[in-house]
Amino acid sequence: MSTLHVLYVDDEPDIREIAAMALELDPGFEVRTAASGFAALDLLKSGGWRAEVILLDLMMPGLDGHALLGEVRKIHGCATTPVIFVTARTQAADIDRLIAQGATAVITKPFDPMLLAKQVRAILDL
Amino acid sequence: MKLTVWPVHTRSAVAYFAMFAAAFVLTAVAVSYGQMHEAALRRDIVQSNEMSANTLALFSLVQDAETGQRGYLLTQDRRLLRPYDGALRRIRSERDRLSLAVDGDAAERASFVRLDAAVGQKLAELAETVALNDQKGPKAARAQVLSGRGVAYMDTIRNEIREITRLEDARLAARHRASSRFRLVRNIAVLGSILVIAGIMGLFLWRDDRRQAAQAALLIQLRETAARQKIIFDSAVDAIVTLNPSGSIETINAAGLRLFGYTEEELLRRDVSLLLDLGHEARAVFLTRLQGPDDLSTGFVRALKARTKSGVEVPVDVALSAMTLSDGVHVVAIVRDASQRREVEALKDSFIATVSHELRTPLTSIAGSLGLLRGGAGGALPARAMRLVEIAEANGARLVRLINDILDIEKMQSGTALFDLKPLQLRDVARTACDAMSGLAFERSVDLGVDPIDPELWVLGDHDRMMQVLGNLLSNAIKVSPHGGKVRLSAEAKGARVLLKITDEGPGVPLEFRSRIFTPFAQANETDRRSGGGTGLGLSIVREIVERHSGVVGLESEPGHGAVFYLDLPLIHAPVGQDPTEPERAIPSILICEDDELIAEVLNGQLESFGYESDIVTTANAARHALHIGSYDAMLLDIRLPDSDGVTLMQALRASPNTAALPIIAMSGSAEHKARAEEQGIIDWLEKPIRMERLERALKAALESRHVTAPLILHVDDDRDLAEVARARLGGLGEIVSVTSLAAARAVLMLRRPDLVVLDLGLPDGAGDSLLGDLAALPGGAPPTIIYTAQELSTPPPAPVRAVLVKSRSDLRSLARLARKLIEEKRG
Repeated sequence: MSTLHVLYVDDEPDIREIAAMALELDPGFEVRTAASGFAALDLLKSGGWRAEVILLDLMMPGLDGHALLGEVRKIHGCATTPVIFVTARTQAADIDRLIAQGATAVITKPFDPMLLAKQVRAILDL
Repeated sequence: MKLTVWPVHTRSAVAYFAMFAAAFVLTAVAVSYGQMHEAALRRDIVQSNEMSANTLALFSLVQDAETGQRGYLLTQDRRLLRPYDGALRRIRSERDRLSLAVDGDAAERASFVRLDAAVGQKLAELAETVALNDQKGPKAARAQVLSGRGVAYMDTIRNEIREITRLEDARLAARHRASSRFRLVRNIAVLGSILVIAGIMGLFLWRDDRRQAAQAALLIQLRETAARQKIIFDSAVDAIVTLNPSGSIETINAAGLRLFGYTEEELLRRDVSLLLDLGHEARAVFLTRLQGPDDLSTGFVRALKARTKSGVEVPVDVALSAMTLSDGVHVVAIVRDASQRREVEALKDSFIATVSHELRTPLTSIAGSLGLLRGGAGGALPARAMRLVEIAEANGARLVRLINDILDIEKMQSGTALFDLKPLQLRDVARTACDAMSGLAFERSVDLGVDPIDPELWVLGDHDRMMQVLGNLLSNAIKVSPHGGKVRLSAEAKGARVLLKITDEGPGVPLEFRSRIFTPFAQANETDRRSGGGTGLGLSIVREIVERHSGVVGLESEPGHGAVFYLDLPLIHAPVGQDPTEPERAIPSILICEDDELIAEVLNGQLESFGYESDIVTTANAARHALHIGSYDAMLLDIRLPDSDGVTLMQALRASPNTAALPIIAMSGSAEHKARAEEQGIIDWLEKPIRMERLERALKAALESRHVTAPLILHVDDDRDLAEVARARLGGLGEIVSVTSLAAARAVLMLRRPDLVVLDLGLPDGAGDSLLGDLAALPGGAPPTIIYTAQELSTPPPAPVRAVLVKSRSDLRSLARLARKLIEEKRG
């Protein structure tokens, strides 16, 4: 089984750490994190590492989740990369809007760290 | 307060009148009877006087005769006989008159007979003496006179006349006595009657006076009460508007006039919509609560927008309460300017939203860390440490639920929560909710189930919100149930509403707790909170959601015997077209109704080999039940069944909209009943023993008939009851789609082409015949159309209309007959 490259973007350092730990419970995942939308874009544009799935927070200072998703889609090679929002704002209307915008799925915060990797696998149908 | 003086008063007036009339009639009778009596007495006196005068006249005539005769005898001058002759003539007539006039008693009559005889004898003696004088000379005559016979007769006559006069006098005297007695009695009677009448009138006047005095006192009291209440009414800080049953403004207080900027005259008798959008929804919810079990004494508060005279919109809180008077339910609306409060609320809302987000972020870290620790991501934990982590994690989860619930109820109460209302099939909703809770039920060893629910029951609701409501009620029921206890979800239609019930076998709800069970953070006792792990907001959220569905949530419970939570929701008609919630089945499912179990098993095996699923029932009743709760693509039906024959079962199935078009393949050992079965519409008639390839062909035809050839009948009529009956009538002909408006009919035409249209003319959104244009524009031209209406047509209808049936004259049977004819014609 090949390794799945995951990018996790969140401005909260604690949550980044926990999410990375939770995702890496799955030995097939290789996780990188970014502390802001800009940091995420830098990483994706550098071309050295290719994300196969991006998990991101919606409410972030600077570049928020919506804006980041738009920017990601413009990057060569990222037009179809699955993007999963991990957010505390999960009204049905919000989810619908995110999906309409091109998000693959929405995971509600607080997430169950023991299930996070499994959820991602289920969403990607792996 | 209700005044009921009038009926009593009317009753006593009638009694007075009756008594008055009786006394009056009595007086009149007495007076007129007295007059008759007087007249009779007067007649008697006249008669009596006449009698006396007549007898005296007779006597004096006899004396005249005697005087004339004596003159002649003394003078022998015949001229002196003239008075004698004259007297004789008049005596004759006088005697006749007397004999007619005598009508008194026997004594008087006898006396008269004697008088008459004596007169006769006297006259004979006088005549005899005259004859003696003429034949034998005056001497002989004198001797005759001296004999004394004539004197004796005269004495007799005198005596009898005296007797008659005496008798008459006695009779008159008796009459007079009787008459004066009668007069006395009559006078007493008349006087008495007059006294009674006067008494009655006096009593009546007295009573009337007293009543008027009482009314005046009452009026003063009422005026004072009204004045007192008017002052209270006008000094209230909030606007108070009362509405009559039709929704017009009846009264409005000073604060109301200030708030809305109108004068009282401008508002009275105007519709309340001038001031408030007390729209359909608010009124419906209010009226629903009015019918519900809730205590309405505290009114019902809604956040609304009011319009002032200058056109400014003001946010207001409106408390509604009902006042039942003799002419219906009046509504009292207390309206409070909420502009300031709304600003504060908006601040609060945004504060809560921010805070809850800010709370959730650290909670995510806490819950995540604890989850990883418990999962062993930080290495194996000693048992005691693990227990502590579990406690921390469980409470973290509870904090998250609490924040979610607070946000939820906040949204609902502030009216910002949006509901996505769609037609929902109750059966489907109930099943899904139960499935979602089956895990919890299993964990707690609770027997959770759904009773059969009529697939025709539909409600308008937000699917996720309904799931939230049922999930909450079911999880509560499961949590309070003992091990092995039963939790049941059931539904029963009650007219235009449905009662959805969740029944448990838990300890029940204490009486004192029931009134506040639906208020936030209300829990019966502290232990509930700890053991249930709930937030205390679940039922208030349930109530908010249900009320936004124009429903009522309530509870029945007998402590110690479980509880029944119920939702009372308005029903809607099943939506047009196929049931959208029923997934397309890949494997056709066939119901086998066959009482011979061996044959049934064989058929079952054969169907399986064809790739079909099948269920077996052995009686007509069981078949009906299976078709009611399950969904089948076709039925194999044995015509001979133990409890009923197959044809009767078919008739019953055709009458039910659900199974009216079910493809049925009949099976029988003989050809008996074949014609009757064919009348009910069967796909095929298979004689036993059944050949496999024939069965397969029949089943294929049956399944195709279901998907392809069932004709579509579009019935457009705003009378829902009629639509229901027509559906049953036309059911056997194909699939019936009933809609109640032109718009809905057009929506159907966008998707499907009907084979027959039954059209009512008077529809809520326009004339039915305006649909004819849409029908003509359909690909393949207009389908045959029957106009079925209560109105008479003034002009002949255009081409696609094949018939016009007038509702009052044509019954549904003739409609069904015609529809069948047109469909068969179309099929060719």
